Amino acid sequence: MSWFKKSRSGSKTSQKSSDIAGPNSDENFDGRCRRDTDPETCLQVFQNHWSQAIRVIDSKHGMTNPQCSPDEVAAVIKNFEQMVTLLAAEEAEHGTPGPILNFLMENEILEKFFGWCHLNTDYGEKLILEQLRMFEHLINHSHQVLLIHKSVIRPLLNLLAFCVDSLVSKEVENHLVFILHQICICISKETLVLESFFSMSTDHDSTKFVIFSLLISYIHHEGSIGQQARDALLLIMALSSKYPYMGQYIANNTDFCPVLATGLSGLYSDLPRKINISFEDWRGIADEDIAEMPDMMMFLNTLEFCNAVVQIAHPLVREQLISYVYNGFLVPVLGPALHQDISGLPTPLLDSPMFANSREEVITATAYLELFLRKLTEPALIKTFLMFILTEKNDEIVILESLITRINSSSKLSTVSLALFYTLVNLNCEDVMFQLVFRYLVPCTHVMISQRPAVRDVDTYSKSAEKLLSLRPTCCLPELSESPDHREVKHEPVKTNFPPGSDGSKLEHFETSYLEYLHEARTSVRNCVKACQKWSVPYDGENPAPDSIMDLDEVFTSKSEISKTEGIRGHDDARKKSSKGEVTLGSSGLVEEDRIKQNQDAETKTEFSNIIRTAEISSDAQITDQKECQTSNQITFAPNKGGKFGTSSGNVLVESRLDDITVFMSFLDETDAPVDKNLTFEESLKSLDSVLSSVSAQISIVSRTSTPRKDLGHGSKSLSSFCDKNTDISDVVGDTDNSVDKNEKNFQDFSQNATPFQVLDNSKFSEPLSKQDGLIRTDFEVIETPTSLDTGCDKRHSETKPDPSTFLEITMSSNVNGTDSMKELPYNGSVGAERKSSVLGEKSVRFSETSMQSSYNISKPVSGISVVAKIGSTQPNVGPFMTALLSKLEGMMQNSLQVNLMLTGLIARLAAYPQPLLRSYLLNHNLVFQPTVKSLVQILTVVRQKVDHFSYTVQNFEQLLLRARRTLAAREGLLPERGKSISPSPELIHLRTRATTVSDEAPSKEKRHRTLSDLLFKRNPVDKKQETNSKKTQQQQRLEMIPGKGFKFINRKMNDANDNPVESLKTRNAVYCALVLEEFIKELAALAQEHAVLSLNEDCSNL
Amino acid sequence: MTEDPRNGHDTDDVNLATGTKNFEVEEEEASVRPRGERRKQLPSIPDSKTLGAMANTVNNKPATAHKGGSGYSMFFLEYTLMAEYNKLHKQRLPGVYVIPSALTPLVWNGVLFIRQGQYQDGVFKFTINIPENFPHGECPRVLFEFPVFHPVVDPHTGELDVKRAFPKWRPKVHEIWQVLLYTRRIFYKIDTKSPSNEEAAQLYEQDMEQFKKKVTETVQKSKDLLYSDDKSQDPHAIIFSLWDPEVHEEARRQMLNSKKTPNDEDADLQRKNGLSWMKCGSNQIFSRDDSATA
Repeated sequence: MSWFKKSRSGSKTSQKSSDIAGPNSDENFDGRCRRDTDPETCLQVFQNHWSQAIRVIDSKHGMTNPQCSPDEVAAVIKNFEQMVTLLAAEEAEHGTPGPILNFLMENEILEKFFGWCHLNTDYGEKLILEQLRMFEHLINHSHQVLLIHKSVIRPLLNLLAFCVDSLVSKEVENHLVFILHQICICISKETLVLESFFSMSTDHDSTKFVIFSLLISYIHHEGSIGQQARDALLLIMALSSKYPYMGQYIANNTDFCPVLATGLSGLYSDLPRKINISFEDWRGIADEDIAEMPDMMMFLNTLEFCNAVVQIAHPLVREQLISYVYNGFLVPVLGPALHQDISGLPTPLLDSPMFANSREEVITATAYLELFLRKLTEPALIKTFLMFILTEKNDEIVILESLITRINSSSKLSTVSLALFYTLVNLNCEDVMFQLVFRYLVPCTHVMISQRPAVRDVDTYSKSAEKLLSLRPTCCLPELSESPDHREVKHEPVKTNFPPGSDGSKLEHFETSYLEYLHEARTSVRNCVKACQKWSVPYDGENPAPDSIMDLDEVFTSKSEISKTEGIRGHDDARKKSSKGEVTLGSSGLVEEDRIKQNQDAETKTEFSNIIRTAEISSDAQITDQKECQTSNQITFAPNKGGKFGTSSGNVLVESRLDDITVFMSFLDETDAPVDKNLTFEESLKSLDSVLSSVSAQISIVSRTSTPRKDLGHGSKSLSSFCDKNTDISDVVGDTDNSVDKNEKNFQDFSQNATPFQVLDNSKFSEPLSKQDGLIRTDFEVIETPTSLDTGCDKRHSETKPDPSTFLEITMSSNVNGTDSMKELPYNGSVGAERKSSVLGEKSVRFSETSMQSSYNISKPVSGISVVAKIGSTQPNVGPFMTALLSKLEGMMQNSLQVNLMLTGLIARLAAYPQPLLRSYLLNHNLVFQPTVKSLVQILTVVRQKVDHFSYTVQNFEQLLLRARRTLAAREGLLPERGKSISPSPELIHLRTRATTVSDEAPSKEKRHRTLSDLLFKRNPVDKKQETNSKKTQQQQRLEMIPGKGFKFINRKMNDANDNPVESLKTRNAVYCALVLEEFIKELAALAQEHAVLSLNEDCSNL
Repeated sequence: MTEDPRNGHDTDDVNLATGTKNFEVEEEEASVRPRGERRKQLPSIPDSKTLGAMANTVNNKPATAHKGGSGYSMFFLEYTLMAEYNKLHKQRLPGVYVIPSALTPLVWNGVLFIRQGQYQDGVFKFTINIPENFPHGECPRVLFEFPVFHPVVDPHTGELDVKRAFPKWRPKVHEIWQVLLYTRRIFYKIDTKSPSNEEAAQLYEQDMEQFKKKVTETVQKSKDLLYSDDKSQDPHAIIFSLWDPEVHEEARRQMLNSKKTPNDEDADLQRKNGLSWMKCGSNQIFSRDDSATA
């Protein structure tokens, strides 16, 4: 103590000494201060330092040149350091400030210090740094809460404000951000601090909350600065949810959200334009890839930050951010990026080199979108992205639909699109699945009416699995192949790593374990069931009811919901429009303009665009009085529009209980509508349309071979007489012709050109379906379908030709405009069971436009006809998504391995969904679908036949299979390990979440991937990296790449390897197709089995 | 009772032995006490996970050789039986408890509690033997532990005459739970037509007093046999023991609590939980603002 006093007195007396005492004694002081924890002494020391410092400060006060000398500055700084240390060490007593702090506040020490620093601009940065360090220390180590005191906060804020205004160096920035971070931590710990800060900020008009504004500017920085800034902001966001005023402030008075969103856009534009996706099992941009792309890391950081903000912030902030992300990033940046090619052009053209660049960019954008979706976890943000994808339109086409069209495009784009869809499907999101699949399946138009209850069937006896497993390509069955001896003899002995008898030498060794597939299927199905527990409806064919989906436009978000969220969304118009297109049961004109328009949108996708354009015509065939339809089993009909096999997305269907043609004819007979010769052309056409479509619905199998005249089944005289009669024949193929005189000519044309038709079951096609003379102008073309009847397709047809396709279509061309509603067929109820064996031409059918109220009964369906009647619902259609997938699957032999793997993975994932509608559609082999709806089993059967066929044409298919198996196994690093099982795991073939296998061998595998894919798919070998990799790879079979030509084995020569590259590519694809098919059916069979044993608490119908 | 079908499966068979061995490991997980420890408990129906594991282990023979159609028949059979078992669960037949044997899925151990009627208080253990060519073969057979005195139960073998109810087993129509229902029903509704036990039928028709006496005897016998040792090697055999709070209280608590606790949520699951913004009953996507997440 005496020593203390001595020094104090000593310091008081000395005026100019820069130090109180030597450094040693300072430390001793500090040490003793702390150790002694004697507040008194600390205070005194503190005051000591202060007095010294203030002396220097005051000495310059008022002088013209307030700059201090370096010594002076150093002196002050040193003093302050001590003071800070003392202050920090001081303990508070129950919240009241300690003596030092009191002293500090009374004397406004910090303000003065700050003022002094401010004046000393010579040392600008240094002083700032000092101050910052000081504050850092204080905030960090202080035992008391300092930040609630104005005298502490004010200088701090001043300092910060000063930093805002002036450019600061990196080092200062570091400290600055650090301090801000610390402050935020303090704030979150002690909310009083927040209020102080907030109230303090009222002094500054411009930036109410300096801290905030500062932090915002550092959000997008790289490295630790950015990270700290983001963390600090997150802390504030968390607070904002607790304190509404903060939330409001952030939302209304800062530009936090816009900055964030525009930052996203900016960072996105920095991303590379092209990515490499040549691996076979590319499943999405992987973490390893991201590590190589710093721009991507930045973007993802920001994205995750947005994710976190949305998660924890105040609802105001959250909504604002979401809307900014939507309107500021998704719509203006990502939307165009995804659509850089010109939509509407045919796919082959788009795949050509002409559009290669924009294609690349589209591919990249799609891959990015997939990555972003995977990285998001916060539902609100996911919802934003999904709304963007599902409902947003680009160039009038919903983004989802344009994505669907890409499934069928070139290999790379197809791959990324499929990956994106996998991610979408994997979200287990009801909205997504609804838009993709369920809204088409719910009406149950894809199955026969009688089969509807069967949708819910559980396959207890694994019959579906059995059926699927029977689809294994015979070429893959080892026991059916030639004996090994024979095989060996065929080829010259080659040096191979797999001598006969070893583990890799036979195809059987690569057999995958079905048990593993079962395990996998179990996990997959159970996860899906768990996830879908929160869905609103079980989609089991009853709930939601099949007739609950009237108009597909309805499914757009309700207008009110959207406008509720944000006023920023400018899409209300689109929503309003959607409600217009609503179709209601019982309303006339079932197909309204919107639907036409929608169909026209769809038009660009299908090949039969001209068919779709006849939506105008189709709307003719309307039943105005739906009620009657319902009550009396009427036929409501509309010509089919669009799509292959005449499926369309728009119109009503024909009732199933159709009788054969005679009944219909007889019904037509019975019509007692007077002939009105003065009917206009249009009107007669309209009525004709309706008749013809119903006729088309009833006409069954048509034989192609018979001639028109002789044809017509056993009632062959019917058509001839039909033709003979001098009545207009509306359903005759012919040219569109407006003149009356052409009737005869029409018929001639028909007989020459048309594909004749023949009624299947002896019924006579008797009635002339036309009106009397002169008015019928409709032409149609009848094409045969072998198994069933199409519900008729209207097609504008200027000329007909014998169509060898297996279609049954009745198309009509007419000039009517599309908005008139079609009159109903007149009907006489008495027709009923009476069948008149009318000879064609004996009667004439007369129509009246006025009699609209009749309805008729058709008693029994014609054999083979499989029309589905669903009043008011759509034609048999499973939606563009499933159709695209299945048609891509049909071409499995031509697809590359990459595409096949992706495709089968996606379909398997879809098959894991427990909802009966989807599950039965994909896996139930017993379900009888509409003829226009292809089933998965059907397609796989066809593919397998093709594969088997092909395998017979290639000599050493067996060898190729074996080699392919080895290649795939080697790729997975399994083969080198002799001791272990060499059966490639199911994951090999069926992809999971990894893009490249993560293991010790990852780098080499990656290179191997590239190499293999180069070799196998003959990628552009110009890439040097790949070339060098190919040399470095440690495969057992070294494949050397000859640029541009193909590959050849070094170890062994393939006879046909060097030949026609196209041939070998085709072979390769076929071989891989066989392998993929083999594994795929196992996977599906396993899924089918697992679905059957979903137990009670997991059953999804137990909602 | 002469025949114990549970012993019918030879433990010499490698696969079964393996199956058993493997299964014992699973057992502990499934909280079914191994037989050896002689810690008995009320029978518990294993959750499907155990069932699946059990089925898998039993089927663990390397069926890789010929994976033609025939090679998968074991899988189909297993899954068929699993599906049948699940359907059984859904029925919630009162008083009947069934558990497939650990040794083979074709044998199901069961116990029947009769709560009313003449056979009231009877506790009858039985096994269901399912034919290998199920569902295309004959109907499953039900064998009581001992020859229960009943017109349709064979007095020598203890076999219930199931064929009278299912003369021809029709795959899609008949299901195993119906067999159980029938098994239960015979004790409430006695049918004496073409009886397996002539004496019982006769007594029932003519001498009700004597019949009842015999029934009482049989009920008593069932209770006497209740706590007897189980001779089979089957870990899933239904074994009764007296209430022992140490053992049983815990199990009871677990059973009662199992429904309440929701599934564990990993951090991972947060992502795996599905999303839905559709309002119930509407067909509109994004019709809800909040998302329902599991």
